[in-house]
Amino acid sequence: MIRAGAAALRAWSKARGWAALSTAPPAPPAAPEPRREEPPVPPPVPPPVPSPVLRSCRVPVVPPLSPLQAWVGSLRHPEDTLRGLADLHPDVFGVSPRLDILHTVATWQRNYKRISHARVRSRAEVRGGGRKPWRQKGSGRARHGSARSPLWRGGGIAHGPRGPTSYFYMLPMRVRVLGLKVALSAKLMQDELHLVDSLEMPSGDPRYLQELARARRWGHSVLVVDSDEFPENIIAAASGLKSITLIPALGLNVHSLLKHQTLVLTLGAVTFLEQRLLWHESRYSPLVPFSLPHRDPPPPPRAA
Amino acid sequence: MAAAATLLLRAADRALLGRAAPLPCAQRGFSDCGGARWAPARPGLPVPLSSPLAGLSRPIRIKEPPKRKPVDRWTKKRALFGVYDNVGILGGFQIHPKSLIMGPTWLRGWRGNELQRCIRKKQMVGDRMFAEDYHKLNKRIRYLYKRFNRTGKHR
Repeated sequence: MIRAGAAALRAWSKARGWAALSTAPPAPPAAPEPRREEPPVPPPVPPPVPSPVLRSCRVPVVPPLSPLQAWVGSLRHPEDTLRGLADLHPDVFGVSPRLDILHTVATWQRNYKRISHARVRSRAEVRGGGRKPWRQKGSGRARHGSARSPLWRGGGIAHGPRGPTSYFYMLPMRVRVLGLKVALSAKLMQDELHLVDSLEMPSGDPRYLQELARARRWGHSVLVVDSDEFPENIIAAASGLKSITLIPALGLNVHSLLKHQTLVLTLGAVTFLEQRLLWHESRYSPLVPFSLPHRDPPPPPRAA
Repeated sequence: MAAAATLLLRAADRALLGRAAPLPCAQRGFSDCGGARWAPARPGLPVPLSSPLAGLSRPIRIKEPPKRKPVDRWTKKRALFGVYDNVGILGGFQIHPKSLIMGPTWLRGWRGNELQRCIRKKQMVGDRMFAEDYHKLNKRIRYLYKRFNRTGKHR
């Protein structure tokens, strides 16, 4: 009876009121009203899908090597990551990971520009100290010839740093080129390389770029490289952010690649880098400096 | 755990029995307590009874090692370090990276030991140096020449 009462109360609470307690059969549902005639709505047309961006290697890939592939995205929308496919030359983006070469080139970059200005005065340069302080014999003190010798307080330093010192040296050109190739290969291998067809952005807001980097999980530092001029929007966005750097393709180097977590390349920059870095594999040794005009070796005769 | 329990027991022991025991400084881990001797623990002290500083009449100053000052790793200079180092390879060899080095004229893109540096400075910049500095430079060249070429194993 308590259960029946609880069920009745539940029915009451469903706002049927006294009708909940009646035992009469429920009334049939009302017939639906006739619908007004509407014009037939055409099915929604999906937006036109743009044709995929495909990029092949300008420098021919000699078999048995085959080109590596990477997705091409864009910066127009945070989720616009699959616009097309690009072929990457294996001799630039697929070399073996020589960490010793990366270390060599990074150390060279740190040290070849270093000029240390540390300098201390020697006993000849410290002011004073020409006269013998006391006579050689008979005074009971140790014998000295000058009050500015390295033994004295206020005297010169015997083997201290001397003058501006330079630590300049150059690594062989092929080692520096190989360092760039190893760094680019490492970025591709570790999924930290992203290709982009162009750097156009819908707005120049730094927060849009930050949100895009976070949505695509790029990491906390991004290096953006382009061979042509940068559009204004991305310049404005990157100038408001500390760890997103824009550099031209001329400025690519191993230290920046190691400092920034992610690398974003445009297709133009990829073409430029492949052409410049692959030339060194088939060039003559420089009998004259390369800054003078030179002729490339003739192409090898094709086997019939 | 066991060490903390024994410390707690010892501190409680002293507080209850009121023994004027000599302060076991070696037990507490520091060499000299700065003159603060054991005294009955006052309930108002914020130090918990289990810590080595419990039960002292005068609070001992503990010095912490100096904190490292925060370094901003993303300044303009640090973010753009190394850019254009490969301008020769990537730029058609019109510029050599040694022309980007900022420094004294006689040291740009060149390296040498002290005697070589002094001679090069005298050749390139000697005629516009101050008289005293020029005189000291000459003395240094003379001394280093004799040192390198007349003394030691390698002459």
